[in-house]
Formats: sequence, structure tokens, C-alpha cells
Amino acid sequence: MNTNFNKKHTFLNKIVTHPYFGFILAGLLLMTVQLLEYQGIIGVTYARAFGLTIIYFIISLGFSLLLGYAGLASLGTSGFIGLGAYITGYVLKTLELPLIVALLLTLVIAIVIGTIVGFISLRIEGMYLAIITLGLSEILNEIFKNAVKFTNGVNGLKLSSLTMFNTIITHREFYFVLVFVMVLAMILTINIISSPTGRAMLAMKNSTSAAQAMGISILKYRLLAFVIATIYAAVGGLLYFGYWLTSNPETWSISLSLSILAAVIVGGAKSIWGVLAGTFLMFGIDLAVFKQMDFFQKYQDVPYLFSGLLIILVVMFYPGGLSKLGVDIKTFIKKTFVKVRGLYHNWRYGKDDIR
Amino acid sequence: MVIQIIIQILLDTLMPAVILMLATLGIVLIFKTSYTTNFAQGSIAALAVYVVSSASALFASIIPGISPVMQLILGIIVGIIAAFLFGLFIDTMILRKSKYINAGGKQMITMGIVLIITGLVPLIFGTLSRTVPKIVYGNIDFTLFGLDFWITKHNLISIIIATVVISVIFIMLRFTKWGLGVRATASNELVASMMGVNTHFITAMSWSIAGALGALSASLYAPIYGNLSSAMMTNIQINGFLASILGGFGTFFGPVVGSYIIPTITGMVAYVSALWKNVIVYGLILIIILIKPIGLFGKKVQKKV
Amino acid sequence: MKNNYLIRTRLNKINDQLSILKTSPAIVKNKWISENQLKLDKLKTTQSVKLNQLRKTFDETYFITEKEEKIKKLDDKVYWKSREYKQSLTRQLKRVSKSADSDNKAVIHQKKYEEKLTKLQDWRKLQEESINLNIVNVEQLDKSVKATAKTEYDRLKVEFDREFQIMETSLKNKTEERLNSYLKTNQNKILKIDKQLTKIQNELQSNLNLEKENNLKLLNELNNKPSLTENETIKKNTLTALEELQSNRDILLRLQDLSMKFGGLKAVDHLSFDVKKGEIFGLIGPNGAGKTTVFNCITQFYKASEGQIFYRDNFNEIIDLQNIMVHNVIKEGIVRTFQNVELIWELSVLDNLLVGAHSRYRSNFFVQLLHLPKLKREEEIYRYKATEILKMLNLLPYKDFPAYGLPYGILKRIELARTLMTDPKLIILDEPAAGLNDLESVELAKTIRLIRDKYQCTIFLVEHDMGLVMDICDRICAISFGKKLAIGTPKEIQQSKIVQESYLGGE
Repeated sequence: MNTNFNKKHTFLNKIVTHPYFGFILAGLLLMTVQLLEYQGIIGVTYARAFGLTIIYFIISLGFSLLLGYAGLASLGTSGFIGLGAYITGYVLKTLELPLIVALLLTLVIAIVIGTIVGFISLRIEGMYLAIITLGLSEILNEIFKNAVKFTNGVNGLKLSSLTMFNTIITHREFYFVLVFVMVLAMILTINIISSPTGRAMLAMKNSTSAAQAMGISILKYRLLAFVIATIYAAVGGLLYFGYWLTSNPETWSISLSLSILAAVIVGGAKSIWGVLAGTFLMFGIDLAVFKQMDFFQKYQDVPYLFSGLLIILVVMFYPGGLSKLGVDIKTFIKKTFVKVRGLYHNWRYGKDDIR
Repeated sequence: MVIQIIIQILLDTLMPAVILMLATLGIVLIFKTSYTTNFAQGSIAALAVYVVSSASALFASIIPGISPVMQLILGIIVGIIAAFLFGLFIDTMILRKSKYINAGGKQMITMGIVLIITGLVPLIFGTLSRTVPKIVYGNIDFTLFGLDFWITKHNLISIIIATVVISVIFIMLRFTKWGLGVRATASNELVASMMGVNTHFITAMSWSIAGALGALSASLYAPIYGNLSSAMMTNIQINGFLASILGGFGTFFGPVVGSYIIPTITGMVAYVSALWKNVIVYGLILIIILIKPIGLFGKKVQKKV
Repeated sequence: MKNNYLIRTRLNKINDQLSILKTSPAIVKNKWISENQLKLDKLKTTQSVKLNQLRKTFDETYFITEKEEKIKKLDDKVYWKSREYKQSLTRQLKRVSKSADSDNKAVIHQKKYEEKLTKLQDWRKLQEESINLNIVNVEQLDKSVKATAKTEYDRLKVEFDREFQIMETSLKNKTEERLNSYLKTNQNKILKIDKQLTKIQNELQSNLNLEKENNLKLLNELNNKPSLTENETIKKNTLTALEELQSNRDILLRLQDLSMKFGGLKAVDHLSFDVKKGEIFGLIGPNGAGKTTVFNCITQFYKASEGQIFYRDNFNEIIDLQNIMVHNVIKEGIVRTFQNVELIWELSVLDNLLVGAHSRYRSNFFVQLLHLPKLKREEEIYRYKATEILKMLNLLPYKDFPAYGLPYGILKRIELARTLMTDPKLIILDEPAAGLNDLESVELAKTIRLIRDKYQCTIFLVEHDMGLVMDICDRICAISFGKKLAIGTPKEIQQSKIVQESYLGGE
């Protein structure tokens, strides 16, 4: 009956096809970047570019959950990241408390802010929501600039070194923390996506009335989506401060929100791997390639040109983004393989006129 | 004394208010005809100001003996034409050519245009700092009811120009065929197109006119702002959005009123706390919008299931 | 009143638990049986490999089949090879035809080709001979050796068969035992929950009795009052309605003086009717008569401007649906479909059905975040249930298709399937036959009846297809401009003059 059960149920196959396997593999691959940097094969700037891209990837994951699943457009991301960074900075520098306290405080404040924005999203929908969150981000940015006592104003908050468990953690060691959090975030995200919560969010995005008729509380899932996205963003901010030990108000401007949006759109908002590809395309290339070239050091804003063009091209001609591109390439390869084989067959054997 | 201060603040905030009105009117025009919020409104305007500054420099070099005021006016005209064409380009070449487009997609495209302009400006116009001069320098002092007030000449001229332009736009919306088309498209694009309204032309013109309005507002605002940058209109853009929501996207009239309210209140609050004025005003607007999501002049629409 | 609501939500939760406990044995059994089958298959294949090895040494028939296979392979090889030669020949001839002495060269190539073919035939013969030789060798083997091998083979076969049977029975017994113990624990749990249930129900009943007494008192007071204010008349009407509903156990849903205003327009105007338990009830009326508005009022998408909607909930108590949130209506056993199919386009058909079961999931967010076994168990249960429903509605082939792009008739059926995921008491269908062809409509009528009989639920539908309505409905209510025209059996409605007038526009 079932003749190929040997193939299907081997232990190895089970592991390889498990969704976590790819994430852990990606984590290990990204860890090698830092190991190569230790050996001096890769420059520090490149390793740091990778680190920053990982942070933006974590944030983009939360954003993709918000945009791709719950269907809520928010432009307040950069403000929430900045909030996480400043809370961490304040706890570490002024209060001189350990990082775990910063994490707890960040989580609490992220939940509060996420709930507030979620409530706003109940009253205001669609395009208006993007604008309102933009306003909220602007308020946060003004606070970062003006609340000098907490944020050190436009000069930026700086910390000389990060200590954890009574040892100084350099950015090299912190990179591994980043990778660990990244893998964790990917796993949690896929768990959410493939559970009733993910389905409920998609239902809400597709048709609010159908969702309500099926017993899905719009209030609950809007709040949940915003709380999750805000937590991802705020934890991203925490990691940013831990990694760079500095935070400037101008970093958390609208263009960062737009870039994250671009990364998610270009990558494909519904696929974790697509978002990974999108962030590495948008931030990775910018940080590791453009920022190192003399031309782009003179014209610092020019890389935005490429992100803008990519967004427009993707929205105009290829709404699925990179994740759809991956699927399309796979099917294309399969199709061409069959075609080429057929052509070769015809060339070698000719027409069938013997039998 | 208090009355004097209040009236002086009202006078001062009239200038930002009219600039905001021009920008907001563009945003609303596009929202009404294309059903999308144009995030690139500010960036297009900023690009136009760069055109203004280089065009006026160009006129200074090719027409000998031209007065600085003429330079600037010719430059502004060129800038407005450029923004007009750019708006036309966005609608006809990008939005209409997109295969799979919805309101959200259009919004993404405008965000992409923001990024493109941010990258393009230093490439075309270089990284040196530029400024746009005022049309006229100097103040006017006058006395009213025995109290002394003052206003800069540039502001006065700007207010007059902007008021004329806004009135013309409203008259056009009310009495011309284009205005009727805009209103028809705003209520239902499909039905309008079936009734013989050339909606493609209407939306293209709306984008162009919105670009031109943005260019005008940015040219008037640039001398006050200082060194030009591609992000110079960001604040006005955000204020424009908030004003539109505050007044309600449902009407043309609401957003314009909203964009008078916001700078005025900001001016008042700035007198109390200059540092936190934006935070306070934004917070207030957020609360008002939360209480009345359809805006001050909006109409409620029953959701159909 | 609020106390009662809390008790009711608790009751609903317990009820869900009960239904899970009741459905889970079937799933577990299926799972165990498939596991057993896997083990048995594995055993059988290892056995047959061993037996075949032994068979080679004595069985001629085995060799005959082997020979046939080998010769078939040979022929195949010859076929492809000759095709290849022919193709190369035609290519050579094409090339040659351009040169000057083409005839000569063509002849040479033709000869070469024929040589190759004869070589191929020779090779084939040689191979066949070798195969035959092999078999002759086996045939010439010692008879005694063959005999021992045969006996050995027979012995092994019997042994293997016995082994297989023993394994099968033992597995079967084991599963049965496991199932029994599982059922026992389940039964215990059910008993426990039942005890809880009765306790809570008693509590509720006493509460309700108290309420009833109070209501009676109030009603008497109101009846004795000479003149009533507007609020008081409403109160009186509701109280009398409650009184009647409590005695009349047949009625599932009652609309009482329901009105819905949009601005100045009255979409529904003092409409009242009853829907009885287990019937198929139709609501008809011309376009814009307010039929969908009635549905939206019942399912709380709209809040009615006036009037009450009484509903007999899972525990036979009368509740006013207007006190319930939109997303909690499904928990009372009311599910609806939509006029324009509202499916989740980005999900597969099966996942769409799982969305329908959303209100039944008991695992909280953290369980879902960590994908704990509890969630996996629940997913399994609802997946099983969904496939059963899909099977019933002939939708199984579409199980893994994305909902987007399927034909309209299929979409309508998927929406119907989705409503069944929560074992509803009242299914509200908004124009189920709209956009279907005649054949599909007939099928739909059958399906609706099947659902009513199988799930023992009440069906309340709006439909323009008069044939369908008259065919399946037990009772029909006709409305026009939000006002009730007539109510009765299909025959009565057909004969009613007032309905004919409103439809045909008579004088």
C-alpha cells in the first residue's frame, strides 16, 4: 500500500522539513560572519552592517505581521524603535541597572503603546491610520529631541561600554545575541502565522464582517497585532542600543519607517524568507556596499533612490515581492528543465515512426 | 495687552496657515480623485523649489540686467510648471501603468516617490546649500485700535497670492466643467466614467494642479525655512495630512479650515511653551480625531455588510 | 442579569469542552489505525523481500515472469537505439545533400545504418540466448535441492503469515485497549463536567426563577396601571413576550416590533415574527424590502433602533440578542453567510473552514505562540471535522486550493460548509442561490435539507429564487418596505393577494 514510507518518515527527513530547521540554519550561517570577522577575513564595517541588518530584520518581521497579516498600515515604526533604544539607554546609563531590567521595561512600555495604537486603529482605518501613526511617530521624535533630561537631546545618548553579568560585552559578542534573538523571533513569528491567531488576522484583513461573524473579535486582534509589532520594534531598539551604544533622534525619522516598509513590500509581506531577503536587499546592500563607497559618502541620500525605484517597480509589476520571485523562479526552472529534456529527446531520437 | 498679543499671533500664523492650505488643497484634490493619500506631495514641492532656485540663477545669467524680483518670479513660474508636469508624469506614467493597483498600492508608490526624490535631489542639484530669497524684504508696521502690529512684506504678499489662488481653485471646483468632473469622480469614479466624465483627464489634472499648488506653497515657504533640503516640506506635509483628517476628507472645505486651525493653535501654544508646541498640538489633534474620526466637517457613512 | 450572562459564558465554555471530548475519540482512533497500518506494511515488505529471494532458487514460474520482464527491457533498449540510429541517419543525409556527390555519400550512410541495425539485432539475440541459458541452468538443478527449497519456502510463508496475523491482532487489541482506556478517561471527564454542568444549570435556573417571579410582579403592576408611558409599554410588551416564550418551547427566534432607521429612511418597520425550532424559514420581499437589514440586526452588525430580538440559547433560556457583541453571536449557535461571498481569499479552503471554527479554540495566545501540544491536538480535531464536512458537501478535491479563483458555485458551498464548523443551532443564509444555475440550485435545496436533518438545526434564509423558496421552506414571511405583508406556508403565501400585489404591482 504505502510503499515509500521509508523515505517519508526517516528521522533526518523529519528534521530537514521542519520549519525551524531553516531558521536555525540561517542563524548559524549569520554567526559565521562574525567568526570570519574574528579571523580578520571580513572587515569590521561589514560585520557591523550585518548586525544592523539583523536588527532591522527583526523589526521588519513584526511589521510584516502587522501589514501582511492584520492588514494595518503603520508609519510609526521608527518612533517605537527609538522608544526602545532610549528606554534601554536611560536604564543602562542613568539608572545603571542591568540589561534585563531594560528589557522588562521596554516590553511593558511596548505593550502599553501598542494597546494605545491598537485602540486608535479601531476608530480610524486604512490610509488614515498610516497618517495618524505618522503623527504619533512625530510626537515621539519631538520628545526625543526635547526631553533633554532623559535623551540628551539632539546630541544623542551615548554609553561607553555595555556590561552584562559583570563582564564587558563588546559589539562582537553582542552580535551572537542578535542572531539568537533573530532566530527566536523567526520561530515565534511562524508559530503565530500558522496558528488560529494568524488565520484570524488574515480573516480580519480580508473581510471584517466575515471575521466578526466567525467570532473573531476585531478589538482583540487589532490590539494583538499592534502589541506584537510594537514589541518587535521596541526590542529592535533595545538591540540597537546594545549593539551601537548610541541613539540619535535623527536616526528615528520617517525615512527609517519608510525603508522598513520598503523592505517588507519588496520582500513580500507574507513570507518570513521574503522579509529576510527584502531587509538584506534594502539595508544590507546599503550598509555594506553603498556606505563604503566614496561616491555615496559624498551623496549620502542617493541609496534611497534605489529603494524608491524598487518599491515602485515591485508595486507596479510584481506585487508578491521577492518571495513570489523565489516561487516563480522555482517553477520556471522546473518548467524549463522539462522543456529542455523534451528538446534534447527530440534531437537525439527524432520522431517516433518505428513502432 | 492680551488682545494685542493674540491678534499679533493670529497675524503671524496667517502665513504658515496659507502655506499649509495650499499644500492641503493638493492632498485633498488627489485624495478625492485617486482615493489615495499622496505622501509625495511635500517631496514634489521640495523638488520644485530646487528647480526654482536653479531656474532663477539661470535667468540671472542669460538675461542681463534682470531685477532679482523678476528672476525669482520667473523661477517660481518655471518651478510651478515643472511640478505640474511631474504630477502629470506620476499619474499618467506610473499610476495608470500599474497592473495590479489598489489604494494601498498607490500609497506605497507615493512613498517610493518620496525616497526617489530624496535620492535624486543631491544627484541633480549637488550637495551645496542653496536658499531662495524673499520676494520683498522689510516689515510693515501699522496701528489698529491704538495698538501696534507688524507683518513682513513677504508674508503679506504670500498671503495675498495664496488667498487668490485658493479662491480661484474653489471657484473652478464650483463653476467649471473640470470642477464638476472632480466632484463626480470623488463621489464614484466608476459611475462618473460611465456617465461620460473623462476620469483619466480629471485625475491627471488633479495630480498636476496638486503638484503646482505644492510648488507654490514651497516657493513661498522656502525663504522662511532657510537652506533647502528634500525634507523641508515634511512637517508641512504631516500637518497637511492631520489637517485633512481634522477637517474631514469628505469635503474640500473641511481640510482648508483644518489647515487654518492647526498653525493658529500651534502659534498660540508656542507662546506658552515653544519647546513642546508640536507635541501638545499633535496630541490635541489625535484626541479630537479619536473622538470624531470623520473629522470636524465630515459626513458619516453607514458601512454596508 | 449580568450574573446570568457570566454563568452562560461559563456554560458555553463547558459545552465546547464536551463537544471536543466527544469528537476526539474518533480522531484518535483513526490516527492509531493508520499508525498500525504503517507497521503492518513495513512487516509485509520485509517478509516479501525474504520470500522472493528464496523463490528464485526453485520456482520456474518466477523465472518465466522474470524472463518476460528482461526481454521487454531488451526490446525497449533496441527500440530506442534504433530510433537514435535513424535520427542520426536523417541528420547525416541532410548534411550530405548539400555537398556535390551527395548520392554516393548517401548510399554509404545508408549502408552504415543498416550495418548498425543488423549489429543491434545480433546483440539482442545474444542477450536473449544468455537469458534462456540462465533459466535452463536453473531447470537442470537437482530436484532434491529444489524440493527442500520449496518446503522451506512453504514453511516460511506459513510462518510469516502467522507472524503477520499475530501482529495484526495484537496491534488491534492494543489499540482497542488504548481506545477503551481513552474512552473511560473521557467518560470520567464527561461525567465530571456533566456534574458541573448540572450544578451551574441549577444555579442559573434558580436565578431565572427569581427573575421570572420579579417579571410577573412587574407585569401585574403594569397591567393594573391605568395609563402607561412609552417606556412602560415597551417594558410591558417585552415582559408578555418573555412570558409566552417561556411556555412555548417551539419558538427559537422571535423578532418583536423590530425597527431600523437609516437617517430618515425606515428600512425595517415594526416587524415581528417567530422562527420555530427545526424548520426552514424563508424571508422574501422585493428588492430593498429590508431583508438583509433584518439579518444584520439579528447578527448584531447593525444595532436595531427599536424592538427586541429574543432567542432561545443553548440552555433553553430566552435571551435578547441585542445584549450580545457581534463576535459573540456565533457562540450562541447563530452562524450566517453573506450575500456577496465573504471568504478569506488568501487562505486555502480547509483553512477557511478552520477560521469558521475559531470561536471553538480553547488554547490561549501563549499556547499558540509556543505551539504547545494542546494546540496541536485541537488543530487535529478541527482538521478532521473540516475534512468530514468537506466530504459531505463534495468539496474534498478542493481542500488545499486557495479560495481565490474557485468557481462561484463552489465558493457558495464553501461558505455553507464554514457555517457547519461550530455545530450551529440557527443558520442564516443570505441569498444562497444567487448566481447559481438551475442544476446547482436543485443541489443546494438537497444540501440544505440534508444539513437541517443531519445537524438538527434551524435554517433561516433570504432568497429571490421563488422556486427554491417554495420548494424547501416550511414557512415563509413576505415583507415589503420593512413591513410584514403575510406569513404562512408556501401555499398560503402563493395565494395571498397582498403578496401578489406587492410583487406584480397590481392595483
